[in-house]
Amino acid sequence: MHTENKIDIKKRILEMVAEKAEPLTLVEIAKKVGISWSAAKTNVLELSQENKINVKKYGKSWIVWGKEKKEEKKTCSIYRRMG
Amino acid sequence: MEERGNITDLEGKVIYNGLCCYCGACGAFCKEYITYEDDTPKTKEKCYEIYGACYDFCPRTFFAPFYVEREIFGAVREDNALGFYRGEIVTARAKEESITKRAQDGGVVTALLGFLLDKGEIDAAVVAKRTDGWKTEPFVATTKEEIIEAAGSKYTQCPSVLGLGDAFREGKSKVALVGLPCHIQAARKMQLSKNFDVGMDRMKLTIGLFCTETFDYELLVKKVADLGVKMEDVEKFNIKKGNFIIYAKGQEIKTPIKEMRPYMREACKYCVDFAAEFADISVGSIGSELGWSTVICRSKEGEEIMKEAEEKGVIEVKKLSDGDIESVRKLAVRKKKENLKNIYEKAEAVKVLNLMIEPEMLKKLTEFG
Repeated sequence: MHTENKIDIKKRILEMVAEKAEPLTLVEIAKKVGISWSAAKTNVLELSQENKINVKKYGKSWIVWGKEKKEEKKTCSIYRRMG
Repeated sequence: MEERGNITDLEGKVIYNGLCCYCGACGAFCKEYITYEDDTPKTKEKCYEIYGACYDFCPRTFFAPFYVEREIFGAVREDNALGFYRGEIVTARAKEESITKRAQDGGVVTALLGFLLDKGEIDAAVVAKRTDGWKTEPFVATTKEEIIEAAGSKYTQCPSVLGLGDAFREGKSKVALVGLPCHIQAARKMQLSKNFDVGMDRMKLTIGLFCTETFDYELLVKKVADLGVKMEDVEKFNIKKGNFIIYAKGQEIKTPIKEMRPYMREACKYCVDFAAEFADISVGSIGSELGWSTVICRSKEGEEIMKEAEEKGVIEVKKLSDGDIESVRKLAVRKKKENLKNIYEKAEAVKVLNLMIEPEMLKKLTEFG
């Protein structure tokens, strides 16, 4: 259950960051997602490690913004014969 | 009978090694990464495939001629100059005046394509079309008029195999490809590829054109200017009896073909296929009189198409004399001998199990006493 909650929190953080076009603070994220500042910080740092969002510390504040979606280009792998 | 490689290998072994014949095979099914500038494939960004279709389809990475003959024609050649073929080598011409008026020689290619389109046996033909001046681009022709408009030989390289990819993407399912020996070799590699399937069952026919070389466009413009002609005034080019002929404003300007060597595309120096040895039907002017074309049928399908086209009065066909056939063979052998020297100079030693043999010494391995 703890794991499910964690996945759910991360998912909600990513959705929120994607929805907002501008950078967010940890305080904003924590309030919107309904978690503590500390939990927001832990999850945001983990997401950053997973290369899913950007995060930077400015003085005492943490700023979070989304990763640019890179459109995956097609390669010849779509024509590769199976087996 | 294969090697594997990716775009970086293709660049190293072919593109930047002077072997690229600009056939269009590498980019035909990879528009995202491969584009063409200055008649050369360019990759601004590399894909991360460990081995790719670009390398697999390129006729200059590896090509197994006897394997292709066995797979496509069911047998290996007996005539080493002209490749495998069925029946007799003949001379033919189109009967329709609208075709012969426009054609380079006999108009056989145009006549056959028009015939097959009318019959519904093909729904498109990939041909080389002139754009501005004498530059060319691949064109997917779907009407007889478009095929006639594209008639006539062009002497600069056209990435015709790109047109095959375009035709498939447009939803065409019965496509004929007209190309030079390198285009046909690429198409056969695509058909026989064990690694990639791009739906080559949609390619129903290949018509190959005899070829000694193509010319670099910019160098050709310069040479034509040196001969006192503006490129925009050129109505036709031809190669006949050892001369490169320019037809412009009612004049015929001839220069010995030997003098055209410096204007040749570099990669053409490494080609040993004169008579489009792997096409269903091969067509060219050598051996035939003015206004007629020499035709070699290689596959069963090619033979049947020629027979039906003659029966239906689309083309007229005559026998070629042994002397005329010999002139075709002579030119093919000359190209092979000259270019094999270039290949030997460029090639590394060949490995036969553990033996490392310089290519020019291979014969010594099997000749005894």
